[in-house]
Amino acid sequence: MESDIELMLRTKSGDDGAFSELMRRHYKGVVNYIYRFTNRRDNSEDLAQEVFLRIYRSAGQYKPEAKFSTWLYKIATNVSLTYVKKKGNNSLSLDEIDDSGDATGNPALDIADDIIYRKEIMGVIFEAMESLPEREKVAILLCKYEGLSYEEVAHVLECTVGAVKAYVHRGRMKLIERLKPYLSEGGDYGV
Amino acid sequence: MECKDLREMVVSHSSGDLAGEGRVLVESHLSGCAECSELFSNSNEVWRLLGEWEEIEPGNDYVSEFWSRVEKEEARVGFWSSLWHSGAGWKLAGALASVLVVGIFSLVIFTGDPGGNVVADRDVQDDMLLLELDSATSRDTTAALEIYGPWDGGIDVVNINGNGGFN
Repeated sequence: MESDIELMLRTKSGDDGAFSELMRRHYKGVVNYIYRFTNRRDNSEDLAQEVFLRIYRSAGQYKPEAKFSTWLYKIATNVSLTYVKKKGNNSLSLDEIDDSGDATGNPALDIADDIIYRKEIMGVIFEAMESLPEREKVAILLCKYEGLSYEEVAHVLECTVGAVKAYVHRGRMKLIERLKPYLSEGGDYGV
Repeated sequence: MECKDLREMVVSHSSGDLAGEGRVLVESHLSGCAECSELFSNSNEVWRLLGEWEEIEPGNDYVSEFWSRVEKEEARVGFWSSLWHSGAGWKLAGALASVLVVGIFSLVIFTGDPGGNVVADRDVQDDMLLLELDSATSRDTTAALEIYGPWDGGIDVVNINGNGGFN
């Protein structure tokens, strides 16, 4: 399988098929990263397209100096930050959080309760994440959800690996405080 | 070490980031400290809880949507952008610049001063200045002549300048 860098170099030489393959590999990750960053399901695909459009436009200047994914998430972070700052108040009410996700498939749970629970927990997690300083939030989102290593996150945030570890640990400690009420039931949330 | 000094290390340990002596130290502390053990399990629990933030599935046609967006963008910026990228833009810019230069020269050469009838504001101001100067000179001259004695009524300038009025 061709590496991301090889695909990007092919894109640079005018092969649009290579760029389509890059999108297939990373699109879902970028959409979800933006979704968790902005908590806007309706706009996340549009913003993800914007991210890929920026990459496609700058393909001519591409130099394979760093991993493609770090470049990708750096742009995704910038696009998300710009969006959040432009929108000002980006928090959603719980009613606005989409509940059309897949069913859990657990027959022991009442479906209505499950939907209410998921709405609540997603809103609570978003608010807790939103309360973190920007760098702690980005570091946790990239490590936890996008599976980036500390080194890759360090490239995205343009800092040292030690700084990334500190962001993650401090953020995690703050999240413990903010999510305490949801941890007190022994961790069994039934989903 | 006290609990407050170990809190960050406990969270590090729950992230799997502790090794060597640090790890041994935290593990031995956790075995005898209920408060730090709770922190350790809460840290793990928070990470698990974050996992409940569900993923969303993008639509199936995102690749084709992307390419139609690219097409739209290109159509919008389109003509001029493709002109520049093809290199024809430079030729067009050169041609336009040539036309402009020729046009300016033509204007200079073929549209001269139409008989000196153009009166600029500055010319009007100059004329007024000259008139004022003339008038001021006359007053000064009159004042200067007062030293030659009382003058009754108007001054007959013709006499003064004419047949030896100062004799």
